[in-house]
Amino acid sequence: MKKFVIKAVVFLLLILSTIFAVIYLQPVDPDKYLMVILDKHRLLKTTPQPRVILVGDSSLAFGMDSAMIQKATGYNVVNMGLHGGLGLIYIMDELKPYLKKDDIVIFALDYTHYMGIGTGDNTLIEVTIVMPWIIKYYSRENYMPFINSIPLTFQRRLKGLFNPSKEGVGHRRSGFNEYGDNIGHIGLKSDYFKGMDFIAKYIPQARELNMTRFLPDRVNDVVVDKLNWFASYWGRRGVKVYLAFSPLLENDRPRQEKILRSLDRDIRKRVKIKVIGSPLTYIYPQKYFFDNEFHLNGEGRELRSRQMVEDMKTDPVLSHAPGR
Amino acid sequence: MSLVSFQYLVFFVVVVAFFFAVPQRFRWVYLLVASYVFYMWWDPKYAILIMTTTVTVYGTALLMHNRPVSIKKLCVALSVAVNLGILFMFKYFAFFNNSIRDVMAFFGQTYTPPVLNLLFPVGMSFYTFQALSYTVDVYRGTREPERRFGMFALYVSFFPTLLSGPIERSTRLLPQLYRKVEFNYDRVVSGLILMGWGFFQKLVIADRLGQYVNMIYNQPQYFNGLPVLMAIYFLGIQVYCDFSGYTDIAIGTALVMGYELMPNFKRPFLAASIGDLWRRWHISLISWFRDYLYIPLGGNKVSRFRWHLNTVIVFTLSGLWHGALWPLVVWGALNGVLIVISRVTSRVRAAVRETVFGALAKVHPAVYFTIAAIAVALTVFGKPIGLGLGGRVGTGFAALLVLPVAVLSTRKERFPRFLEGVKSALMIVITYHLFVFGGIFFRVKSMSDGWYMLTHFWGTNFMQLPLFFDLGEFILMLLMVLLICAVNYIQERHGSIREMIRTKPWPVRWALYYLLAISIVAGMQKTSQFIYFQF
Repeated sequence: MKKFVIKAVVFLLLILSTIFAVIYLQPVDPDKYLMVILDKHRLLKTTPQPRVILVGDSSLAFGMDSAMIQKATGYNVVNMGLHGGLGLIYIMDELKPYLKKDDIVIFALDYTHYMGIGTGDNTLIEVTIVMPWIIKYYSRENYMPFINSIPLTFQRRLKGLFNPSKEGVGHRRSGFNEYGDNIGHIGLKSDYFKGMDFIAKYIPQARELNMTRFLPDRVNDVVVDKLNWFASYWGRRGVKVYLAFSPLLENDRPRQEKILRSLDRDIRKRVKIKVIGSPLTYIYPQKYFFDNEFHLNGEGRELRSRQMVEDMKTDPVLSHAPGR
Repeated sequence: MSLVSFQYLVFFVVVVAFFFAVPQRFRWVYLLVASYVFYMWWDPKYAILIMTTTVTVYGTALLMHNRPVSIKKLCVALSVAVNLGILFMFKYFAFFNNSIRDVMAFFGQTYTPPVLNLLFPVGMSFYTFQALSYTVDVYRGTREPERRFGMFALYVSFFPTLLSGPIERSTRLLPQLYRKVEFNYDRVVSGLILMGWGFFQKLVIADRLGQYVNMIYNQPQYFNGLPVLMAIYFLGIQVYCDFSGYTDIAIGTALVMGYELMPNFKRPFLAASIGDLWRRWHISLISWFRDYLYIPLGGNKVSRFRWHLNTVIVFTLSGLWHGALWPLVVWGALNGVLIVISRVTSRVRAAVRETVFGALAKVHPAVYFTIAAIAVALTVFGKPIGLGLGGRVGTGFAALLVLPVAVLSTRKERFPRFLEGVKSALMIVITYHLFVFGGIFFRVKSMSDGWYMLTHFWGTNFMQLPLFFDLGEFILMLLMVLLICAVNYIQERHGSIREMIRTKPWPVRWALYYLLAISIVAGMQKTSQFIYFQF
């Protein structure tokens, strides 16, 4: 038995070291999109108060003009929007080391987050490779998704060894500005829009239904609990938490409005976070989007940011920073 | 927990590590606790159901022992009624009620079926059948009733077989549970390799092909032509790798702990007839139906008509066992009918084969060369005479087939043996086609979907074959199919591959183990649930 255990351990180490070597030891392109997480964390650490921290996914990264908000409200703005695959739980977790009394957090989540349970995908591993220390802030809900994502990350890295792929110019770390907004895509025309044609390839009935995504008409109970826990925990520590809305590609507008009204009602009823604005004002036609239905282009970004400023002005705390 | 999850790996390591540390006389307790933990991981409430089955089957077996036949019959009836009753409530209640509603609606009557909203517990069909086989065995006097309740509870709930079999027999498994098991290096390694191969089949092959199959089968009306045909072909391999993968993990797990489970598959796609295929596919279920239904119905010891009817009844019920859906019932019945047809026509078919292949053996090589030349010419120059892409691919394929035949036909001493091989291969190919085309009803959600697929699989839309997959990914799917065929062929010709590996020098062995483990990590797809869990 001893012989077997020794051999089994050696074999296991051999496999694990192969996986580790392929995933971790491969050089990472410093201009890779996800590498901007380092800059965002630096901003969280160094941006002085009074400050507003915008929390979300890539729709926030591509679709927010933080300078406009800063100018209109006087708050310093940090845009933490990066990637939907990180999941709501992670994007809450990563704030843990930085939040301070009197900070303001505004969630501007894509609608997919309201359907899920908040856990992340293989993007979790990608950011952990860049910042290994962040793992200590992970909630336990993300442990299994993290482990389950190892094979996929291994496969992508292995593929990358033989066939390195480069991200598009609109998706580079160098495209982000000093607030954490991606501006690298502004003025660019995407070669391909992942809209109906793209979706219908995978789900042929999407064209018949005239819909490219599922919209939730209520918030998943797990997400309600997570958001309420965050608001309560940080509220006790002097952090104010708000919730705003994300852009949505217009297709069947009456249906979309019906669903969003229901969602809005559910959020206001069950989520104990102050909501600013209405989701209906963030439904935009395709001309305002860049390469998919989550990423606004320059014009869309301006439109959304202006709407966001209007929404912030409806709240006495958000309308202007104290002393400004 | 699923057998292809990180939780299961941890569970397996912990259970096995302590299994050998626990003294022999307590091992059954340990395995029983482990099995219940394993099952309750899905839902703790499931324990009540399996315990009910265990208690009724155990109790009725003891009650009927050494009693008059009338008491025995009563006990068997009670055991069967309770267990099939539970199975019916959870699995078939809604199906039968909805069917009654549909029939009544056909006659203009309204019937609103009661809704129970019961979630079907995983593995219930398997452990119920395993327990019932014990009841019948005791009734028949094939075995003595088990006195130790704990040991019997372990037989019903033994975790490797709990979710999807193999459906063990008490005469095989129960004595093993009493046997003292020592740690055996070769056996443990053999079990682990089998588990590894099971993971590979499920995660790398079945789940990969499953993406293609699901795309078509979930919405067949959006596709036609060759993608539909490819999904039909892939489904057979996908289901095989999915279920055989599960079975190998289960058998491997048990083997590591020193228990030998019955095999469930014996290279079914190398079967030369549909009857042969069903003797190689899901062996534990088909043999269960044979022993506990087909033989009591009279088997083949009755009139020819009744014999054929027995076969169709057994296969129809096996279809119903797979799930409460009409397409599955049709699938089962269809296979029964195919077996009957195969049986009835066996002499005629054999005679036709002999005549055709006898004639082919006598054809002059020049004729083969001429046919090959015409096929090549049509492939190359067919376009101007109106031969489409499909036709030219077909003639090219024919040329590739006929040319080696032409060359071999010049070798008089080898040619008859070659034709024998072709004949066997042809029978295997036809059997596979009968199986996978019948298999359409195994997977579709409705009869209309099944009919659509049967009428829309033909076409020449080669460019649409990869669907939305990369060409590389599609080629990988085809390579996986070839790999599974090659492995099956080697096993059929040369026996156990594990045994072959065992005799190789250690660097070769380690290299192969390493390759298998890394291939699983490098090739695994997003895991889906085992297909047979739903049954």
